[in-house]
Formats: sequence, structure tokens, C-alpha cells
Amino acid sequence: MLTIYFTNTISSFLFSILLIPIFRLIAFKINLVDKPNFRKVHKNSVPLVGGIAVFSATLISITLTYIFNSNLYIYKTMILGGGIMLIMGIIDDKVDLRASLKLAIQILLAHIVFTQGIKINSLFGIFGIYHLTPLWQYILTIVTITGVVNAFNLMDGIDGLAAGISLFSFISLSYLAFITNQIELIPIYLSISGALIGFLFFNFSKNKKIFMGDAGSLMLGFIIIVSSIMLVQKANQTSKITTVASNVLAILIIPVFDSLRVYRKRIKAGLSPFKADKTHLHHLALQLGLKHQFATMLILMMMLSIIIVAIATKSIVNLTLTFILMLMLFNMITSLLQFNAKINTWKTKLHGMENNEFNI
Amino acid sequence: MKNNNKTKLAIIGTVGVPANYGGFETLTEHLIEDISDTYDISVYCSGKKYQKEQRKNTYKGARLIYLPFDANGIQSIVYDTISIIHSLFFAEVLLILGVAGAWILPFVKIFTNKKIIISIDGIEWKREKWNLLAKWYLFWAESLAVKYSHIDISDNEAIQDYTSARYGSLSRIIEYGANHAIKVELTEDAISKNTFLLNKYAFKVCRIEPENNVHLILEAFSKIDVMPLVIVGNWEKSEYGKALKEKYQTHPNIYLFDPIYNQKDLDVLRSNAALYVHGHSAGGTNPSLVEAMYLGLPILSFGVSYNKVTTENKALYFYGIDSLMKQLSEINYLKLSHIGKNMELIAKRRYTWKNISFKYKLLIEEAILTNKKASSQPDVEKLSYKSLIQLGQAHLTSVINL
Repeated sequence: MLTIYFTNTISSFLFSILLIPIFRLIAFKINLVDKPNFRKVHKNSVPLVGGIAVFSATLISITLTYIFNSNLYIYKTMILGGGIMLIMGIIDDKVDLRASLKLAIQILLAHIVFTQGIKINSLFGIFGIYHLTPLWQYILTIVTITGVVNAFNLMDGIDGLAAGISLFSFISLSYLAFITNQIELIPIYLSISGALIGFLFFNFSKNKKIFMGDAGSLMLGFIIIVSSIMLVQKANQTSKITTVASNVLAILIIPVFDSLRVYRKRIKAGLSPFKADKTHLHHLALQLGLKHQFATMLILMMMLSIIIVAIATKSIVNLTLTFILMLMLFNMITSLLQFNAKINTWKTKLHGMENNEFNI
Repeated sequence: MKNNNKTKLAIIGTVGVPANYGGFETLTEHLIEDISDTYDISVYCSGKKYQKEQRKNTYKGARLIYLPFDANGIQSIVYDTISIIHSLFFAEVLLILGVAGAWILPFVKIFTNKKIIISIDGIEWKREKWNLLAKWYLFWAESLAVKYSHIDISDNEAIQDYTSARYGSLSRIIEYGANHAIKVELTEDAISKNTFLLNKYAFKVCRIEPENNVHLILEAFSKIDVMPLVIVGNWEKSEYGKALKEKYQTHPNIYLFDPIYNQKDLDVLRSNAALYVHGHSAGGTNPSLVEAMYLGLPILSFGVSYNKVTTENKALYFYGIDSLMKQLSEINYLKLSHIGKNMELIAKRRYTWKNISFKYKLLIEEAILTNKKASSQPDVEKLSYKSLIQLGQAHLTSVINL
């Protein structure tokens, strides 16, 4: 059965590499491109069709599977919601939607997800909290979905990063779906993974470069968080809950806690938490002097280490301690990178001081 | 016989004395000569650089303590740390030269009443020669050195500006002495060895590293035939040096020498030059520059703040290949002689060891008497923005906002 699912990976990979060149051409025609500016690292206009390509290739691939497996219908909320995020993202990529409107649509989608019964109803003993009251279930579900979706959006800053993190996430989610006996989810995750691999070829290419676009990162973030909630919900009351919860946390820690770190820093500096700057994890990694692909690899290695902590500690300590250990690892690495960035800042300041005239 | 009433001073972080090496060692040697009548001085020396038969218990009245580590590179962390710990058993004042062992200073400051004076020796973490981890360590160690010392010393005003901006510390400036540099007259023997000595020539002695702009200086002199250029340095130590030597050694106008260990031979070349070219872009006050100034050589220097401060903005400066070539093409010997005289006047006023030792003596006295670190920040900076608003004085905030 599982081997059949890997055909999803291959087919969506093939569909994505077939579709991307076509989408690229259309993107140039309708001006769905990212133009360089002072915050961006690239120098030419790059088509923002990664998200559309990944979603389309996935859709074709799972539709083919659907013919043989009608169970997929129950995941319509996730797929439809992802589609709406994608469309909103495309419009945003094209004409820059107001932030408040985007947030409103995200909250509305999160609300629909909740009404479909996909919700965070327990913290499974993290910090001693188990079952949540309905009000808290609602608040936490809405905040988590919108928070994670935006966090994924912010990770899309350098080549391969959002796709790499998503790829790692979907591979982990496939494993979690397998152990919680929700194998109908696996074709979806493996299809997206295949399409992401296809995307990465183009994302790293020099001549045929494309970006994920807000469309892609919002859609992927949405599918990942809704899947995570569904898997945890399903594993609740079973022996697998610690494995599932700790792995889901491991997937989400980098995007979520990096956004929280950046928001906190901006608020502390008296700025709006949403004011764009160059302090995200990938900016810090680039400050080590690494090229894009190596900075991406460094962050993926960090993600992998956090996942290893989750796997290694889940049977020894409780979920709270696992969570704290993962956070400590994240914090240690980001602190080192921030320290390095501080050195670079002083280097620049010093350069200015050295070359200015000094009064004697 | 030692006088036990003398304040006990430990000098930490140098290779040792008798001085054969760099600026800190020469400084230590002169401190021993000039202030050991007032202080009971102990100097830590690297056992790696002084063989057993060369070692002495005392030198010019100072006690020598040998430790089996290198004073430079990664071992300097261990060397300085053990020196600091050992000195806690007897010394009252610790004069620490360099920041390698600074990680331990918070403990020394909190758990003992020893007085710590530290010289941060230029901005070491910025230098290209260090790898990433070494840079991280040095950046961190420097912050501890400044925060947990009673007095910190910069060897240049430009470094004082930096420590003030980064730490709000009022760093004290003590430069280097140069009056050990000797003017050596030309001899027939020297001329027969190097015929270029008969004519005017430019001279430079330095480590062959990119941050000393050796490539730039060679390129300019190879293009403009104003006078021959003589450079002494460790060409074989790096690929950079080897490549430059390969490229320029056959040029008729350029003379490249490997390191000259006989001081007299080096002094002949240096003191008879018509122009001293100084390309250092890093660090603070460079000993080689003040020595050239003391010898009355006209200076053509890279125009970073450190060098301008050292030469009081009265030398010639270049900022890149174009400005260097322009300076060379406009050379006027009357002007050069005037610059040389100015350099000598500055050096005799500022860069004599007596002067430097006296400044150290004053700092040691101050350290003994004080517990509070001097700050370069106005007291108003200590008030929060909220308090300033309440006092109606919010305009005083961020006086220094670099």
C-alpha cells in the first residue's frame, strides 16, 4: 500500500516540473513577479508561481489517487482552505492586499476549520494543562492557525527555505499519519513533497528561477497547521499522543518561535511588530557569510536536530520537558547567530568610525 | 633585597622579558626599568619562547614566572588564565595586556579585591587572520575585559571612541614609546650590500597581510617610478605573501627582503629611508609607525583614523590605489623633509618610554585608590526615558546614539 503512495510523490514531482515552465511564462505576461528592492537579495524579476505550481501538481496527483480512494473527501476542509489561502496569496503577490484584510480572511478560514471539528482541545499535559474549555479551544485554535500561517509566510526569505521546511514537515506528517493509522492523509503529504522537490529545482536554478510567493507559503503553512491539529486530535487518548505532539511541536518551533522572537524585538525597539526588517533567522544565517543554499541547509539541520531531540527524549521525559529542551536548542542556536550578527553590526560601525575624520 | 611595602604588580599577557618580540614586550621591559623602584613587579613569561638555559629568576629587579604555554594563538587563553589565577595569590594590581584571558575577570572582580587594569590591544576581533570562532571569542572577551576591569587602556584615540560607543567606558589612552629606535649612519659595508642606499628610497616593514595593504603599495610603486621601494616582511608565511613576492620580486624598482633579525641591519635600512610607507588598516597605534616617526622619517600612511590620530593628521595619507599613486606622483622633497621634522617633534613629545611609563604609574595609583569604573556617558543616560518624561527632560535622551 505504502509503495503505491510513493507514486504520488513521483507523479506530482513530474507534474510540477512540467507545469512550472508554463506558469513562468504566464507569470511574466501578467506581471506576477517579484521585483528587486533594497530588502531583497535577487537582482532580476522572478516569477511568483511556486505556490500555484505545487498546489496544482498536488491536486492533479491526488485527484488521480482519489479515483481509487474516496476517503480523501473527508479532508476537503484542508484542501479547500489551502486553495483559498493560495488565491488570497496570488492576489496579494499581484496587488499587495491590506494586512488587515488578509488577517480577516485567515481568521475566517480558521473559524471554518474550527466549526468543522478540527480544534486544539487539549495541551496534553504541557505545563500541566490537559483538557481546555470550549472558549479556550476556540481562541487557541484561531490564534495558532493564523499565527503559524503567518510564521511560514515570514520564513520565505531565502532560496529553498520555506520549501525545505515544508518538505521536512510533510515527511514528518506522513510518518505521524502512518503511526496514527490515518493513511489516507499520506498521499496528500507525499504529493506535496514531490511537488516541492520539483519546485526546489527551479528555485535554486539560475536561469529559470521561481519563488514560492506569499501564495505558496500561506497555503503550505495552512495545510501544515491544519494537518498538525488533525493528527494530534486523532492521536489524543491513544499511546501515540506523546510522539505526535512532540513531533508536531518540533516542526513548528522554528517558524513560530522565530516570528515571536522577531516580533518581541521590534516591539522592544518601539516599532510595529510587523515592520519588515532583516532580523529573521535566515538573515542571521546569511550573516555568517553563507550562500543561500548553505544558510537554508543550516536552518534545516537545526530543524532536524530539534526533531531528533523530540524523538530521543519523548520516551525518557514528559512532553513539557521535551518542549523545553527543544526550545533551549532553538534559543541556543539563534543566540549564537544573533551574537554573530552583533559582531557584524559593530564591524560596520567601526568601519565608519575608522574612515571618518577625527577631531584631534 | 625586596621592599615588602611596595605595591605588588603582576604583568600578564606578554611573551616575556628580555623583550625580543612585539610592542607589549617592549612596553614591559620599559615599565620594569622605569617603575620597579615604586612597585614590586612580577612578569609572566612564555616557557615556549625562553629555553631553560635562557630563563632567569629576576630581570632588572622584576620577578619572572614561566608558564609552559604560548603567549599567542589559542594557547594564550590558557596562558593568560593561569597567569591571572596565579597572580591572585600575591599581586594587588593586575596589569593585563590583551583580552585572551578576560573570561575569568568577572569572577576575579566579584570574588577578590584585586585591581584590574587591562589594555585591549587594538580591536583584535576584527582582524582578518582569525577564524569565526576566534572572532566570536575575542568579541566576547573584549566586552568582559572592559566591563570587569577597574581601568581599561586604549592605545589610540580612535579605539577610545569605539570603547565609549560600545561600552560607555572612559578608556585611558596610553600609546607606545619609540625612543629605543636608533638612527644608524650609512657604512660602506651596508652600501656595498645594498646599492639602493645611495639614493632616495621608500621603506616599509610589516607582516605581509592584506590588512597592511602590501598589495596596494606594491602595485602603486610598480606603476610610478618615483623612487625604489624596500619592503621587509614574512613573504613565505602565506599564499598572499608568496603570490606578491612572485609577482614583484623581479621588478627593477622594488626590493623585497625576508625578515631581518639583526636589529642593526634593519635600522640601517629604516633610518636612511626618504619615505616611510605605512599601510596598516587595523589595530590602534602601531609601534612600527611611532618608531619611524621618532626617527624623523616622512610618513605616507593609509588614512584610517588610527594612523591619523597617531600622526596628528600631519603626515601624507592615501585611501586606495588612486590616491596612493597621486601622492607618489606629487612627491616634493622639501615638503617631505618638513613632514619628517613634524613627525619627530610629535614622537619626542608623545612617544617616549619615560612619558608612557609615567602614565602607567598614574593609572596604577588611580586603580589602587578607586573602586568605580570611569564612564564616558553623561549621568542623564542612567535615567530611564520614562523618568526623563516625568521630569520634563525627554530631550536629553540618547545623547550618544550610535
